[in-house]
Amino acid sequence: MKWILIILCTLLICSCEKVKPFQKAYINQESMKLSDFKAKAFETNFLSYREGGSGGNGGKAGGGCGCN
Amino acid sequence: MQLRFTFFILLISCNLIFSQEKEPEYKRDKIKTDFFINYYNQDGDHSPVTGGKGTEEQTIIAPTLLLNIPTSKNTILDMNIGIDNISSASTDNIDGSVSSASKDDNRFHSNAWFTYKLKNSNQTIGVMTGLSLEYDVDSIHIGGKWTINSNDDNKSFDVTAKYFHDQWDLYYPIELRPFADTLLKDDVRRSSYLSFTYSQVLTKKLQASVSTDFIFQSGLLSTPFHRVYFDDGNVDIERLPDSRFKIASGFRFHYFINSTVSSRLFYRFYWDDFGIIANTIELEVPIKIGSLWTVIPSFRFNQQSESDYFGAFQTHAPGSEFHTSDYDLAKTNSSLLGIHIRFTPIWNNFLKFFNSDSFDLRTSYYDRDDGLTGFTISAGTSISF
Repeated sequence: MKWILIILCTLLICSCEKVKPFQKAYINQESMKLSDFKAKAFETNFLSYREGGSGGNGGKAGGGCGCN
Repeated sequence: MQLRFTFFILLISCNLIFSQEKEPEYKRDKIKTDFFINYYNQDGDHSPVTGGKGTEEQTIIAPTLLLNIPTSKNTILDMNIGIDNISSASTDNIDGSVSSASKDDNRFHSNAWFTYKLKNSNQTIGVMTGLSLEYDVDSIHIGGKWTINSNDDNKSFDVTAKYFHDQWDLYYPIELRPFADTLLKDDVRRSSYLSFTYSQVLTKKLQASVSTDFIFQSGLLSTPFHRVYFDDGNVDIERLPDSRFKIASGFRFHYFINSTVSSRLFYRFYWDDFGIIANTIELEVPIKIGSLWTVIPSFRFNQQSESDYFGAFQTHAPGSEFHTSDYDLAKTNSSLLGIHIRFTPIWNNFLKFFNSDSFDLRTSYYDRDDGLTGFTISAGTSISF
């Protein structure tokens, strides 16, 4: 687990390629956005109620309702 | 001659003054709205209201409205308003009263983020406020965030902080109400949340992010109407420590495979001091069909360990300080299969009347290995005007 985290963080810190604005046609597409789809928000919420773990995904992480 | 010269100078001066370009007036960007209607149904046989045994049947119908309103060149107001209608067979067992208020609950929730992009800077700041109202819990929340982007917009770092103040009405199981004065002291749950998110464009086709949340909760962390049956047959309310510290770290890798298929991979590691460690992995594969349709199948798997305070029905020893029979805190594996269909009317043909940017339909089936199953369906549209 520790090694996976170190490798993943290293990959993120090192920029593999300098991408100019006009080269971002692929990553600017709706399906490539680094966030959950809006239609998925409700699903993410009920999963945080039914499981002990939550957070790390921009969704509910505890409090704000009569839930865990 | 002198008069003509003076007149000529005046004419040139007036021309220079009135021909200076004024800064163009700000033209407001479009207001975007998203409206979703959500439906959830679940059933299982381990209701915490009846001590880890009994129906968990529940239905939720939840319409939600999202608004994105550019208020000026540098400011945006994001609002979220929803009402959850919750029908729950198990909460009716709190007091055995059929058709009580608890059986059919409505939760109203709303929050608003106001963000400001600093002038001549790559930084954005924001403030948030919100509330949630249901029959037994009223909650208010506040928050703030700060985001900085690199000059080439390839890297972004965000810090978000929130505080939730939940005021509970202490509804106990009916047989324990005569002892209400001795059961719980605190009726407030306080949750503080601090999140750090770093995202980066790695190549023309790959971008990734890592998000780490630190959550600290204190006060009333159990649910007052959850029962626990001891191994001698006696009953108590659920009791949990008055503090809980959680860490959740999520990683996203989104890769554009080709003009038809992309992949969205998510992994989360979770730890808390209740003894729960969880690993979650999810894969979504958006598939473009023509220029109008996108189909997104998804699969999610979650594995979690048991809380130190969990015990099944009639397994807790009497006199234990903390105990729960809530299977949300038990050792479980769960999987979720979903499909999401998106229609984007580029030509705005017959949908021009509605001015819709997109239609979404998402459905998923959830299966937990203790027997709980759930089904969701969300349908919505996005409109700009």
